[in-house]
Parts: sequence; structure tokens; C-alpha cells
Amino acid sequence: MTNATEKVTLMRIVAGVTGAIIALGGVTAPIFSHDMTTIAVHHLLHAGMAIGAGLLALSLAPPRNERERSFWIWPAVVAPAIGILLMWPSEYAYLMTHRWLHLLDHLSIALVTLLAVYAAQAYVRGLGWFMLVLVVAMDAACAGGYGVSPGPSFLLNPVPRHNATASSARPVNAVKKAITLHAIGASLYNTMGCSGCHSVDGSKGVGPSWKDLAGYPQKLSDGKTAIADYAFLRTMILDPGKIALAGYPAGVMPDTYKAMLAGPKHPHETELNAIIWYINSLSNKAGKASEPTVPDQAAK
Amino acid sequence: MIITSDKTGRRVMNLYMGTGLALTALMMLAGLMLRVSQAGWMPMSPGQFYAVLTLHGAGLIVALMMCGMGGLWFLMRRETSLSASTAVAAFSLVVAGVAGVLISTLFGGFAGLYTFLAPLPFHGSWPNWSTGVFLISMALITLGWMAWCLQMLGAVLRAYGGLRGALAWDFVWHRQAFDASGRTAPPPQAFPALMAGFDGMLAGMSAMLLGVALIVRWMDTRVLINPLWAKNLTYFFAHTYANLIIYMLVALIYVGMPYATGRKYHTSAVLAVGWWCSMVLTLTNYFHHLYMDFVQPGPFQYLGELSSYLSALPVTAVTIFGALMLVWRSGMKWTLGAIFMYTGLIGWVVGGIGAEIDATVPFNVHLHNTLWVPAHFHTYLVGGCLLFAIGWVFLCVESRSQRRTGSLMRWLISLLTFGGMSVFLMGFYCAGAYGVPRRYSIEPSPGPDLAKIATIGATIMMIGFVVALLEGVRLRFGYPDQTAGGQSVQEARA
Amino acid sequence: MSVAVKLLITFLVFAGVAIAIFIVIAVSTKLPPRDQREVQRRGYAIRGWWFMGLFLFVIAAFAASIPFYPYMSATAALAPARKVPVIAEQYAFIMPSHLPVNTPIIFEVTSRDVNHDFGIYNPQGHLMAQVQAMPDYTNYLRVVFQEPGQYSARCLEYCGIGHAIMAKTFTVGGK
Repeated sequence: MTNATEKVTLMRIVAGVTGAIIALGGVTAPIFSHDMTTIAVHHLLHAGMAIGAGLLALSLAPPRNERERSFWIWPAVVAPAIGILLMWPSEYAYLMTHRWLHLLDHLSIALVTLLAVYAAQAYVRGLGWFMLVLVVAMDAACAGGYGVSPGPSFLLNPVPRHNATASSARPVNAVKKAITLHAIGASLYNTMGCSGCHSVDGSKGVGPSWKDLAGYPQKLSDGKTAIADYAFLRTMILDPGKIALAGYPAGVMPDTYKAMLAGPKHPHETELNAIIWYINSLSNKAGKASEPTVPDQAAK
Repeated sequence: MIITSDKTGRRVMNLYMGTGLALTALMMLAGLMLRVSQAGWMPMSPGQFYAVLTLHGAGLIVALMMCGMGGLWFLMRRETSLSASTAVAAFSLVVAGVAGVLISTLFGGFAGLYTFLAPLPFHGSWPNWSTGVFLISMALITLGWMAWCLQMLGAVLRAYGGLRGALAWDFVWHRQAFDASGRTAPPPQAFPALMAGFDGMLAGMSAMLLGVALIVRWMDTRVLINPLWAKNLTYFFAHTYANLIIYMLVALIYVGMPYATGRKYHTSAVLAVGWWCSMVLTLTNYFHHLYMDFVQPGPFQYLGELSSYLSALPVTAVTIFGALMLVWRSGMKWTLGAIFMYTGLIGWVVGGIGAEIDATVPFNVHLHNTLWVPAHFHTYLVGGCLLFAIGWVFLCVESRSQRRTGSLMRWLISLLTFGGMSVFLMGFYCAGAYGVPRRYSIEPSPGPDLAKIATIGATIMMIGFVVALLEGVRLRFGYPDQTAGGQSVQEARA
Repeated sequence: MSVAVKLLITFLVFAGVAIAIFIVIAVSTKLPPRDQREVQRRGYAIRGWWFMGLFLFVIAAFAASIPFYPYMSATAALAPARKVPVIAEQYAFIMPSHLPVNTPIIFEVTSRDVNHDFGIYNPQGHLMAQVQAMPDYTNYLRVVFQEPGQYSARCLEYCGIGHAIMAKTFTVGGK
């Protein structure tokens, strides 16, 4: 073997092994990782996994030839589309509670990426690199708007209704914070996957609608009722296993939000409170009991 | 170059271009219906109007894309082996998509327009199934397009030694070493092939991403789609598709004009660098569709205007100037093929002037989404692209025919076609200048009056095209008795 | 004369010049033919000048256009102005019917459903300002109405079957 061929073979082995490790890490992540990310970040992680699968594909691809390997053009153009289908954003919350299904989904995405890059490289040598860049860019681009949206303009969201009545005990700073936080809460509703199961217009979904939720009595599965006050809402989000609602099967609401919204990394539970402010803004029975407590200083 | 013994290559080209031109004719009739409706002469209901407008736009873009794809495929087959079955399969996908568009618009009343700007397809007064059929059709067209693009890209990589060779990189930067190694640069028409393949794949993948995301949203209403993200993807892919039509058909200019003038056209360093610029600038131009979206990050708006302005440089300095230099003092015979190709260059330049004015942000405030926009792109597409395609067909037919088109007939066709076209286009420009919005089934004054004038112009233009078609058929029947191939270039020009 | 009509005249002038050049070159084919190398020698020289000239023109035009961009600068956003929300929906604009004259106004424009475009026509029927109305986003358009009278807002982004009837008239000043 000449030096050049040795070098190429070495590069192929390195690329192949590196790619396999990255891809394997991405495929098995649902089993090992218990953290839920925002949908946008998740798309970027998929893109990272795609890099690994692509590198592996390039290391496996056949050598150059003068003619086209015509058959391979078709997997090359169809596979990327299937990859986008497999990243169905509204199923994210569901997959977080069905880890093996999530692994299967990741495996399928990795295989489809592998196929796309391999097929392009097999069709005409050199096109595999091009396809790798395109597929990774596509996966990353998903983060910009596939399953992710800012939510309606503040012009359409009225200020929390209870704040409109001049509650004199409330400091002005608190009102400002409430308005800001509820807008952040609306944004989090979209990016953290809540919108997948909870509507804000009263329509039925996998989970209860957030419209007219705060401050209203909720039926529990043992026949009792509980008012949806702050403590109730907080528990429902962080420890859903502790409350069983009538009409909603147990184990569907992911238990992963505790790690994302509370704990040592979130001493003020700002995001959690923002979400609860948002839930309050959608109800006409919201009040001090259902709202997070507001410190006297204005929020940043 | 015009004459060929490559029967398969010619068949595939005829398949693409024939279908493309036939679809163009049908879509032009649909367009005439729209103008007639806006004139108030045969008004359609808004639902019908917008369904036909959706069909007209999507159909014409795809039809002209097919003309470009066919022509360029034929030319690249002279450079390297190309699988005809792949090309035909890609064609079939595109045609299936067109059939789907026809069904969703004419039978389903889908009226989301050919831009199908999210979230409009999901907020329409048309049945849900037609939205799905339309989106799936767009996906099929994109699949066919991407297969064609990969084939073109693969062809230039194989024929010229990878991307470096296809770009003529060493030819530009290391000329002496390049010449000493005995290699030759890719011919001029290989650059449109590279650009169409490369930029086309970028646009195609963006279209695929958007298309699948929208299909998923169509199936599952919980899926959120960011409207600004969707808008950027939509205009990126649509703008690139439309621009690539021009650049694909330019390959026909690179071969047709030297043939008609009897002069040579070689790749130069200027040509290569010009195409590098076009490849990049076409991708960054699309921001000029979002000037009035003030939420776009500011730098993109500046980049859009600068990029749009700079695009004029390679186009005029390389291709247009080169073509004019071929014609100057060449003693060219003004056959119909030459007339159409040359006039197409005029349409391209004039459309470009209208475009550059609209691409200026402060002017865009007054022109955005008025009829100025269709004014400039109809100038490009009808007055440029369509004429390139028709000119090429005539050059091919004229090269084999023993009949000649008489002077009177050439004047008649020219006057009818270009005269009618000018009136038709001026209808758009004037209406745009008077603030008449585009895409209005019922236009405010002076829209309807200008629509009446435009309809008359368009009708005259289409009569001109019909006369040209008849003349083309007459020339076709003037082929000599079948021999092994075609005549040589010298014999044909005798 | 509106800005747009001036642009039309500009367009016709430039287009006329371009067409004239093409006609001259076309007519040259009736003259005795010249050798291609000879044509190229002079042609490339002219091309060099053309390229330089066009490049400088383009850069100058770009620089000249920047001060007139309609995007609000950070300072303009902080300056005192009347904030007017405009909510676009299929097929109406929800906004006030009376606006003050000679007052800086910042329209806060959004949409309830699909993409619309808030296009303002002055009493002469000239399109004087516009901005897209997008769902999930708010666009800010700064306008000072210097002329009292009846204005209209039309939708300039295709939004469905009722796009052509989506309009709102409002008066400026007076009363």
C-alpha cells in the first residue's frame, strides 16, 4: 500500500469510528438521559447525531467510478424527507415517557441519515460530503421553527385580568413583573412542549386545557375536588405522580420537568413561576392564591 | 452543438421541453382568464380566481423549470454519460406533482397560492384534503427536482475532476500549470449545470424541509410552525427556483448564440468568476422578499439589497455583454430562433431594471406587493425565459429544415408577439406605479381599465405565439428525408 | 406625482436606453461583418469600463438608499410617539378610525391568523407606507401623517379569498 492509500484508509477508519461513537451516543441517549430539553435544542442534538451517522456513512461508501450508480440517487433524495418526518415535534412529550420508543425513533433518524449520505456518496463520489452538510443543516434548521413558535403577540394577549382591577395592596413593581413573566410563560408554553398536550383555548387535548384552570376546582380520580391554587399547579408540573385527575390517565404527564424547572440549578424557580403566571392569565378566577408570591423588588 | 446523433438525449430533451412548453401554453390561457376577470369582462368568483391563480403560478414556474432542465440535460450529455432512466423518472415525479396541483386547485379549490405561505394553507375556505394534495404535490415536484439536481451535480463532478475542476478553480488561479497539464476548462454551459445542481439542491432541501414540516402540521394540528421561519424558507427556495430557471436557460444562450452568429464562445477566467459570484449572490438575494418584514434581523435587509444590486454585475458584464459581442458585426441571419433568443436577452435586462428598482428598500415601501412585482417577473419569465426556450426550439428545427421563414412572416410574428407582450407588461408596470395591489380578484381603480388594455395586449401576444407555432410546424415538415443523423452545421446554413 | 410614478418614469428611461443599445447592436449585423478577434479586443475594453461604472453606481446607490430605510432605529423607538395597535385578521383591520395629524405614530402591527400586510394609502390614493402583519410577531411602523384627510389601509399580502375586500378607512386630523 502506498502512503497515500494508507492515509486514506486511516482517515476512513478514524471517521467511521468517530461517527459510530457519536451516532451510538445519540441513539442511546433516551435511555441514559432523563433531562428534557426544549424542542429547539432537541433538533440541534439530532443534528449532532446526524453528523455521526454521516461520518460513518462516508467511511463505508464505495470507491469512485466513472459512471453514475443510478440506483442510489433515489434513497439519497427520499431519505432526508423521512428524517424530518421522524422528528415529529408534538410527540416529544410522549416519547419522553416511552424511552424505548424514543430510542427507536433516534435509531431510525440515524439510519435514515446514514442512508442519505451513503447513497449520495455511492451515486457519485464527493456528493456524500455535500449531502452530509445539507442533512445536518436541515436538522439544525428545524430548531428555527419546526414545532417551535413564539406564540401570539402581546397585542392579542390581554394583561392578566385580575390586575386590571386596581388591587391597591399590590406594589406597582409586582404588576410589571407579572406582565413580563406571563409573556415569558407563554413563550415557555411553546418551547417546552406543553402545547403538545395542553390547549389554551379550552379545547380538549391529551391534558387539561389551561384556559380557566387556575383558581377553579379540579375533579380528582377518587371523587374529591381540589382547587387549582399555586401549590396544586406547582405539584402538577413538578410531581405529576402525586395528583391523579379524573378523566386523565396516570403516567402521561412527563415527570421530567422537575429537573428542568426546579432544584439547585433553579433557586428562584423563575421559569416555573413564569409558566404558572401564564396559566393564571388565562383564567378569570385567578387570584393571589393561585399566583406565585411576588417579591418587593422589580424583576430583571 | 445543435446537431446531434444522440437520439436518447434528444428524446429526453423533447420530453422535458415539449411538456414544459405545452404546460406553459395552458397556464398562459389560465393567466389570460385571470386578466379578463380583473378587467371585469368575465369575472370569476374570488374562490375560482384564486384557485386559478394558484394553478397559474405553480404551473408556470414548474413548466419553465422543465424547459431549463431538459435543455441543460441534453447539453451535459455531450460532456459525460447520463442515465436517461433517471431523468425520465425525475420527470415523472414532477409531472405527478403537476397533476396533483391541477386536482387540488381545479377540483379542490385550493387557493393558498403557489407561495403557500404558512399558516395560510391551514386557514383557508377550501377543503382540508386539497391542502394535503397540494402540499404532497409540491413534495413530489421537489423530489423530482432534487434527483435532477444531483444528476447534474454528479455530472460536472465526474466530467471535470471534482468540484475544483467544475469550478475551473485551477484554470483561474494557476493558468500556466493548468495549460501545461493539457487540461481544458469546462465549456461555458457547464457553469449553469454546476449552479443549477448546487444551488438547486440547497433550494430543494429547504423546500423539502418546509414541505414535510407543513405536511406534518397538516396531519397534526398540535405542531407549531414559526411563521417567520416558514417565510424565510419559502422565499429562499421559491426565489432560487425562479432564478435558476433563467440561469438554466442561459446555457441555451451559450450554445445557441455562437451557433447563430457563427462565432466561438469559450470559457474565460472572467466567465468562471462571474458564475462563482452568481452562485453565491443568488442564495443571498432572497432577503429582498422580506424587506417589509420588520422583524427580520436588520443585517439581512442590508445584505439583501447589496446582494440584489451586485447580481447585475456578472449577468450584464459576462453573459449579456458576451452575447452582444457575439452579435455585433457578425452578419447574423435573423431567423426566428435568433430573433427570439436575442429578444429574450432584452426581456432579461428590462426585467432586471424593474427588479433592481424594487430591490431598493425605500422604493420597495411603495412597490411591495403591488402589480409592479408581477410586472418585473413576467418580464423575466415571458420576455426572457420563454423566449430563450422557444428560440432554442426554433434554432434546432431551423438547423434541420430545408425551409426558411420569409421576411414578412418574421416581421408579423415579431410585431404580434413583442408588441402584444409590451402592452401586456406595461399594464402591470403602470398599475403597480398607481399602487394597485397584486393578487386582487377585484382591483381598485385604475386596475380594471389597465387590465382591459393588458388583456388586449396578451391576446395579441398569444396570437403571435400561435402563428409562430404554425410556422414552426411548417418548418418541421421541411426536414429532408430521413438519413442516419442530421445534416452537418455547414450544410444546414447553406 | 407619487414616488411610484416617478419610479415608473425612471424605469422607462433606463429600459428605453437598454432597448436602444440592443437595437443598435442588432442593426450592426446588417453592416459588413468584422472578425471576432477584432471585436473582442475593443469589446473587452468597453466591458472593463462598464463593469467599473456599474459597480461604482451600485455601491453609491446602496449607500444613498440606507438613510431612507423604514426600519425604526433604537433611538426612534424610545422617542415619544402615539402607540396604535393594529390587529389584522381574515378579513379586517382592527384599529382606530381617527388618528392625529402631525404626530409621530408607531403602529404596532400583528395578525390573529395568517400573514397580512398593513398598507397605508394617502388621500390621493398613493401607497405611502406598509408593513407586514405576521401572526406570532409584532411589527413596528413609524408614521407621521402630515396631511389631514381620509386615508385607507389595504391588505397587501394574500390572505385568502377575501384578500381584495380587506380594507379600512380612517381619517387623520380634523374634528
